[in-house]
Amino acid sequence: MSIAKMNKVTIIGTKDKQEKIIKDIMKKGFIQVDNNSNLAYDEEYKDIFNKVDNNQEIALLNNKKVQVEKAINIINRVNKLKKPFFYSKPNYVELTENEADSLYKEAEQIINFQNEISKLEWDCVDFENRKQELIPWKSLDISADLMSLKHIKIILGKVSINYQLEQIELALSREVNKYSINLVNKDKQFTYIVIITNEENENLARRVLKAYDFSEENVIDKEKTIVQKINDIDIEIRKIENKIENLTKKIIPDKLSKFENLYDYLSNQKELKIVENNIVTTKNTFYLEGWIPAGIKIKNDKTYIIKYREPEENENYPVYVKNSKFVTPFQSITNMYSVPNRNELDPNPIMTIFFIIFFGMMLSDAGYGIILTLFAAFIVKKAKYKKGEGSLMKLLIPCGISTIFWGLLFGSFFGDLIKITPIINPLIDVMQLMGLSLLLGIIHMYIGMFMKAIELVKEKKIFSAIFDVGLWYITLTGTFLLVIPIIAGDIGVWSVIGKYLAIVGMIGLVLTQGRTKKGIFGKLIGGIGGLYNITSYFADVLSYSRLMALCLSTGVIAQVGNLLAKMVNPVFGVLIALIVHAINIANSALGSYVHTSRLQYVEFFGKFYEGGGTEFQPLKCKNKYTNIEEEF
Amino acid sequence: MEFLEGLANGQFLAILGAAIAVIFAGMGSAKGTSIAGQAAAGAISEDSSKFGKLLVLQLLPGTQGLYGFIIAFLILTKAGILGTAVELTTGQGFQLLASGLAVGVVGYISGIYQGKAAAAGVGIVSKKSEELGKAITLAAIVETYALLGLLISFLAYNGVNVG
Repeated sequence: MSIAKMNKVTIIGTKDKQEKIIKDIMKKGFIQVDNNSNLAYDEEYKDIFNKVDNNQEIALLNNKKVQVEKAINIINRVNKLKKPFFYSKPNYVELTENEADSLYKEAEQIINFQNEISKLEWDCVDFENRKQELIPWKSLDISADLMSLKHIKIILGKVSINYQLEQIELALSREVNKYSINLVNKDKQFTYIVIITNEENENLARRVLKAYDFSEENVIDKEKTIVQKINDIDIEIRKIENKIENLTKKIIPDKLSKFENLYDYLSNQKELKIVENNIVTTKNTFYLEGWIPAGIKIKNDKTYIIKYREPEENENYPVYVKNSKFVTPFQSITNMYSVPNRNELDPNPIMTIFFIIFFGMMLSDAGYGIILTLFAAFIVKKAKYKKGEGSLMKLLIPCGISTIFWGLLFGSFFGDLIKITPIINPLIDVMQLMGLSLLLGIIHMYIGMFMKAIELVKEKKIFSAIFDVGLWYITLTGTFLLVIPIIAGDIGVWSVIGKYLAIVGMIGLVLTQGRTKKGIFGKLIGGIGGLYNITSYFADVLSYSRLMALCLSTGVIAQVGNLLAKMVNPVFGVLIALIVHAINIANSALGSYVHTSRLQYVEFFGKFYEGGGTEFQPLKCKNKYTNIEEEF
Repeated sequence: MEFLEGLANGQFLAILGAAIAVIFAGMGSAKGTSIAGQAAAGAISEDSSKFGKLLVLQLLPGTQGLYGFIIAFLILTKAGILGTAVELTTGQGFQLLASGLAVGVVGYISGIYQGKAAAAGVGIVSKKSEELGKAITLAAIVETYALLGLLISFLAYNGVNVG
């Protein structure tokens, strides 16, 4: 339930055990390894310590990872495999270097097959293009002998369909004496024509044709007719397709899980090399330093030396926040703001309570709450999140339950679809709702101030705790008691108590808030300036009115949806209601999440929270496809 | 004369108030979501996998329009245009008109400015997609003022007694 104490751990072992020991640490995942590589350059130690440079190997492993991933993707694509949205990962199997190498070669082979397939596919496209060029001439039956006649010349070619055949003929008839022009074929782009002319007129005819962007095509050759050529191409294409099919058959999914395991092996290997980059070695031993949560001891089979020590004063160490299963998902909200620093109180448990209350009050619809809870619970059950994963879904479950509770309190169940008698009706008991919002706000804020006081006392600044928190309690409580009668009517003797509290508190504040300033004048100015902070406290309290605003917004939109649905015929009505409620759940849940977070960050954390710690990031296996049993 | 009487008609004034709430708040949201959407489109062209996250950012300035809509709906109900008909005096009409102003005007301005903040947040997400929460929070601070507008509109609306 707090920020865990950390111990510095030092491991010294022989080099031949180095890899195994680091891998063990990775699998357990409870040590954050320090970067000690600077020791190798330290004046005092540089003669003892060496540092390995693994950068090349890391790059190589990275490259291999990319290749294996490529092979996995190829297998998935070729075999049309798709992982189901939820599936349980197989267990990770450790590989020897030889196994990994031979598996990697197989993965490379898969990539080679795919490359061959791609090449063949290009060949296929090539043939296909050539076939397309020939098809328009299919009906033309000219043997190759005719093309090589001495006096009679045959020109084959195509022109754009923008030019009419008559147009070309007219131009030819003006310039050329003897010619004949024949249409062979026509498609969407081109007209295919044959021009027959004699030797003298050949060049003339070509010049005329050039003006019409005529492009000559040599489709006739000696050996084969056009039809024969098309047939040949078809045979080639079929051959290639057979080859592709045969290659495709070789890309089978039976090794897929092994490749996935290999991928994880490679990424672990890469992590290992990165760690080795950060530690130092002597001739026969290695030296590793890191942080481990206090109380955890590594099993030592006496093959290496291991030592623990507590951090020295002012020594900076990573922050590991340890909380119950219930609170842990909410840590992600705090961490988004800032990770707690090692000296302060863990704000998470109290933040969790208010997060749940505020979220529910903002969404405030029993129906929406049920949907949200079931949805989140379903995902959490199916996805089998590991520790630290899926925080959002996990925290939505208690938030959803709180939403149900507030929905019943406000009599809202899919808006007014299912009638419940509300205890507080947001549209009628407006002042109660407003009062409740601000009251929750004041409690939230006071707890934040109390946390500040605890921290000050821990730092042995008892006077600061009294002046900066205690006096504000008195002043604010007094002022609130003074303000309440203006809005809510007479509260009897309490407003008199409020008046005196406010006066005492304010005088106290004016006297103490300037205590660090120099000179009587400075102290007085500081005191009055400090009192001015009352405006920011009031702004903070009023900020909690968003609890009411978002509550109204959810409820009214739901009611509007129901009203619209009632106006049209039942079929459309159901459809409209479904759409409006679906949009409203999504939008209002997002709004509730955002504004609840804001109340924590600005109004609550603003009172006491410093943050700025570095998160404890233990060395871990970052497996993508396989599962590794973590002991920690 | 009939024209002037029409202008002083309570229900006309109430509709005008509802219209102001919806028009201005809607305009603010339309502009805000457009600003954020344009920025998001640029980021998506670089990395389309961020679509889901950026959509959330684009949606943020959309709430002002909803707030305007809520108030407009409530005003129309109270004025008897939706639901059971009621008699509305000119004075009550003006009161309902005035109650629509807060959410309309603040919604217009805050929608645009929230759009700009969200567009800046797109920059955060496109560089560090894990920092979505921070981008959302920055943009959500602007929304506070739209919420306050909604609240005052609602409190004013709630205080108008008709019938």
